Amino acid sequence: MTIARDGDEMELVRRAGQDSEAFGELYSRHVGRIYNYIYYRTGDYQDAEDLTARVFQRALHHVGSFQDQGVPFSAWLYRIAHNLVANWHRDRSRRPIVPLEDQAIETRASSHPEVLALAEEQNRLLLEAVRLLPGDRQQLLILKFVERQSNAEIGEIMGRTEGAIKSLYHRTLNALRDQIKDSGEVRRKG
Amino acid sequence: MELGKKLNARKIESWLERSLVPVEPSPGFVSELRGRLVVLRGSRMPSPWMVVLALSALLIIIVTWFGLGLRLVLALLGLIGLVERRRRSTET
Repeated sequence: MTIARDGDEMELVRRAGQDSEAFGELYSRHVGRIYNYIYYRTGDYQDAEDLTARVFQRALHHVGSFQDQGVPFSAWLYRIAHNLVANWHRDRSRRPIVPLEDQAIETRASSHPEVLALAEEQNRLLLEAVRLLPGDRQQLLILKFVERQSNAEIGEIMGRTEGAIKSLYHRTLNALRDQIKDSGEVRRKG
Repeated sequence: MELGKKLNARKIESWLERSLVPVEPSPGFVSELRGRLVVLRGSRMPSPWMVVLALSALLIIIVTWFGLGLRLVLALLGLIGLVERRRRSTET
């Protein structure tokens, strides 16, 4: 995000407390990202829609008291989303799994059924492993791979330094590798 | 399955790149939520200052009407007293 865009965004945020159009513009800019974040954290389209709606309803009620402390508006929205997802997980106390048929899968051009089935199985296994990670590591992966944010931007959103994000990323990859190996071994034994 | 082979960070990254792809919320959901937010904004509680202002205006109106009513009652009583005094003076 450029500085000009940041300034423009903060101006919108200032107006959004009273001006519906300004809030509508903020909504249009961020609804997709928040939806993606929640979708990958919950693994369910309907829950993602429900929680996305609650994020923006909460934002609408509190945008008037938003204070510019040098962090992007999106970081504030992600924090609301993060808290709601944490409550959602606590309420369910289980980790749901993405319905395989709903998941967007990008595979190499191949129409061979065995290759496609293998890719789908790998995809499912990976997403299961991602969802077993702690919330902050899931957030990091979603921001990095789904949102294509840089480490510096992720740091702003998560309230950490760029170095801390790099370090967390490497620890996350290692944890993910161990998780995948473990689940693979369990499957082989089963 | 690739699990038998050695998994390294590069391989997991490329795997993540293929699996964690952006998903689009349905256009119906996006527009319906926008509509709900507009309705919510319309029905939102007014600010405390607006409430204070409205209550003050209401109080001023009540006091004004009360004052007017009191004046009317006093005028009526005065008129009655005047008529009564005139009636007594004519009787005597």
